[in-house]
Amino acid sequence: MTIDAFLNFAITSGNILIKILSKKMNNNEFHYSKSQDQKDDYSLIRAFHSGEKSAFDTLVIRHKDRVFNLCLRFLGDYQEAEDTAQDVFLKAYNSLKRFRFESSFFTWLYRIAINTCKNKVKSLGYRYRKMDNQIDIPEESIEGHHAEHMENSGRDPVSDLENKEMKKILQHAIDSLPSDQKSVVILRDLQGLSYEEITDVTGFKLGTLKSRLSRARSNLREKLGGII
Amino acid sequence: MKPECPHIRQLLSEYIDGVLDTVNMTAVMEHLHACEDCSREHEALKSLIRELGNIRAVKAPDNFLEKLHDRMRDDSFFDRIREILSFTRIRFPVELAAFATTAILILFLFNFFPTKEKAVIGNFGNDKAQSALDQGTLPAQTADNQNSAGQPVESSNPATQTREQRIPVKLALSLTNGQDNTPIPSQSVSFGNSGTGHTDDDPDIWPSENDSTKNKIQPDDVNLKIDEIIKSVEGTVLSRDYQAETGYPAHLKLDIPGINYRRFISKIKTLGALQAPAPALPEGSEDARVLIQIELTPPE
Repeated sequence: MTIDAFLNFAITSGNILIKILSKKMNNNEFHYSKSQDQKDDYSLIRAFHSGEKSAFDTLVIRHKDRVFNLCLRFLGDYQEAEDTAQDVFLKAYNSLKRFRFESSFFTWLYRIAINTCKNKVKSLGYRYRKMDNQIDIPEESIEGHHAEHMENSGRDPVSDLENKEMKKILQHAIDSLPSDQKSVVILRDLQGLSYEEITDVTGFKLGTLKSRLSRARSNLREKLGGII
Repeated sequence: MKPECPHIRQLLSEYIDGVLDTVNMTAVMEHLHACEDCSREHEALKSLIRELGNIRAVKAPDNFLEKLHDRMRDDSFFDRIREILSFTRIRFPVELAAFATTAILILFLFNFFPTKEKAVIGNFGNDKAQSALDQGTLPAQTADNQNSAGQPVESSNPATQTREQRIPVKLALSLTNGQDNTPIPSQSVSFGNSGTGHTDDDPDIWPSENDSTKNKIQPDDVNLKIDEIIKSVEGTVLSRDYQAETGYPAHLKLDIPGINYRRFISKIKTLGALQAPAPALPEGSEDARVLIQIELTPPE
């Protein structure tokens, strides 16, 4: 085996490895070690308590995507989701002094996010704006959906279009659910939280959570009829 | 569909998530092997959950943190106010303070610039006063407009407080003896028996001393007549003061609609003679209000 052949093999293997890793990272969940992250969050909060305001910025950077996604799926509107996610962090900033380390930071943050989203949905202004609004997500914001990526991926454009349509249909079906059902289905099926974490976020008892999730899923089944 | 199918379908969601207890898990598993409908339902639910899981995560906008910092700066202004307000250690929301201030400001403006509606209410009030007058309760009304020293007092009627643009008109009226302002006959008749068949005692031609006293218009009659005139032109008495000795009205301040100004002038002339001709209103004053001040001279 010549050196050239070896180098070619090494480059090809490296590319394949990078692709596999990037695919893993582009999965719908933001993977990270929960226990390690909780420790990191706690130390950042302690730093914030001792007057280091920049620690909050680190917390925002760590959690902004998850919170933004939660808001986006709850509200079904990109701009509303951005505004609401910022509201969530503002509330968190003002309340962080009172954080007691009794739950993980992200469930505490999610609790604020869910309540803020529910209040937003109730507000008259949101309902007015939502009347004939559709979810509109800039392409470059979707992970792994850069235009360049799409060109090189060799995927069928028709199938891409179908996928996009399917996402829209799913989002509309989620939008039509009552707030409590919507929140549990987003937290469980889109954000991948465990039942325990969801009860911590929503304050529901385990039995209530199970029945709400079951009802939400069968409602979605009915709404989507023959599509899925 | 079997009798246990509805119950099994209720458990499918937990079955897929693997959170059922062993007994129920076994029951569902066995049922799915035996029931084709429920098995299809199970597959459909699984594919729904899979599709939901395939919805891609979306990154927050790149400038998310910068925007958040901007909003924090905006909010910190209110926080400073909140800190100032919380010096008493009583939690007082800034939003509530802003709302209270706005409410006070609106109330102040509303009272300072009463609407036309309020002026109309004032007129109704005056109509009530007028009906009271018609029922012979004039002294009560006049008492409202005078203080104990007999000085004029601004009416409590809301119309008196209005700051609407009014056209001011000043008049001077000499009250005459006769109720119909007919000239005294001395100017139109000759004395003595000159073939007319009348004597000096003829009451139709020359009033006697007693008749003169009888025809002299009384203060109450003047007031009554003034009120009737004002009512007929849909006006409002803003203030009224009286001569302490005689009881005749000495000064009147009225508010009337511009459209009824001419009618008012012609009617007021029936009470006496205007010392100067009434001024004409400018063009297009029909919709305006006219503020009339009348100085009244009692009859000799």
